[in-house]
Amino acid sequence: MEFIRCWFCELARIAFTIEHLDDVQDALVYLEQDFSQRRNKADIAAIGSFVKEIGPLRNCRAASEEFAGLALRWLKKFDFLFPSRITNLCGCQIGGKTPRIDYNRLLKDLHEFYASFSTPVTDCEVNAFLGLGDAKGRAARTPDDPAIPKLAKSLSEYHQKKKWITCTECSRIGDTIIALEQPASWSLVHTDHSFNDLCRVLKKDHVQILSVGAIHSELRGILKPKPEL
Amino acid sequence: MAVPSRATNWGWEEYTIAFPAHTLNRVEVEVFHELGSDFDPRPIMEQRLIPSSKFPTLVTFKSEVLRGAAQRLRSPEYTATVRRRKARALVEEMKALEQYCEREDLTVWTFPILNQIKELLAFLADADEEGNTREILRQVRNTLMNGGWNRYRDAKARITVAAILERLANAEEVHAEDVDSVFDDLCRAKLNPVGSFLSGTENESPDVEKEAEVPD
Repeated sequence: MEFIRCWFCELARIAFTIEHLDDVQDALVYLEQDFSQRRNKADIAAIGSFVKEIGPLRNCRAASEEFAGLALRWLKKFDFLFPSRITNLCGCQIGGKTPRIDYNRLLKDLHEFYASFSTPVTDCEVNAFLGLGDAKGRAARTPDDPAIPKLAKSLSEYHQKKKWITCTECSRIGDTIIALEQPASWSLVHTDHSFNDLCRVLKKDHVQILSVGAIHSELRGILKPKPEL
Repeated sequence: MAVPSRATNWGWEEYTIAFPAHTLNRVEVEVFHELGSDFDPRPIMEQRLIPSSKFPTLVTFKSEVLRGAAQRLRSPEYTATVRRRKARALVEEMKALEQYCEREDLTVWTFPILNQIKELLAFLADADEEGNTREILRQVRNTLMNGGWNRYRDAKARITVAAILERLANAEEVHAEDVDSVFDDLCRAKLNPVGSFLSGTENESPDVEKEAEVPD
């Protein structure tokens, strides 16, 4: 679900935005300005380079198809690499969705999927999974550890207010739900350092894959350790 | 109409002269521009010999652009025919790659294949019925790019892609299921049909980024 929400939908958005502009270069510039998160800007720049690599972009339709196709191939590759799935304990109704695309109607089918994925589910079983407001529910049992103040804060507030959550609220506590849902016999492999504390607090097995930048920082620390004061 | 003016010794004066309709000679020159499938402009020349007459000759020049031929040539059937023909040519190129697979300059020999795929993609760009074909071609194109050409030293990769192109060369219609099976076939042959991968940027937790006051 996180992969679709964070990456797939953003590429799809790029495809639809390009259709609104007359020139592909203008579309890429607009999108770079529009995306506020730094990591997405970098990826859009990388994507822009890729699109330029594949040859002159004849028209916006061809470019939007390239982005749409890229999003779908990413998702296929993701599912190809990770074919196994854990039991959907939290009852998420959108995470397991797979787009059904006829490439003769690529943008229309993609739009249908995007719209369906983006529509918040109002009767999600994640409420029962978390037991918000229930003194014996998972939300009550999640430790309020100072190491995970921000993540615990949202869940704690939903619990105290006995809030009925939809996809909108769920996206704010997605990492916590992922960690809570993780079976004891599985190890959570992640690139996000916030899972380190979350899994430690919840006593879940995990492995962090460091980014290139993090590896470089670690190497610098080893090769040029800071003198002790 | 201007006529020489005797009064002004070969200067010119403007006169309006009305002629009865039945006294006018009329000549119509019709030019029809037929557009080919490539919409290339072609100059057309027409000549008429107008005999001299004591009455003026009214020449009507009429030009018309005929799109019908071009539209027929861009029909789904025609597009599919071209797709099959060009895919057949790609199959032969892919099979011929075997003789170059040990060479260091392999990209020289994969270049024509890559180029033809891009050209075929451009040709099919506006064909509504060839969307699935375009996606298959994009996947094959991506396998050749960014170092992927080295995988074509392996016979399995060449055979797999040749078989995919063979399907395009034979199919009346290309379906969505074909796209999915091509993707799987390429992955099994250890080719990369995806294209650009995600960059390795440092990720912050999306929960932290979206942290906000919890509304009631």
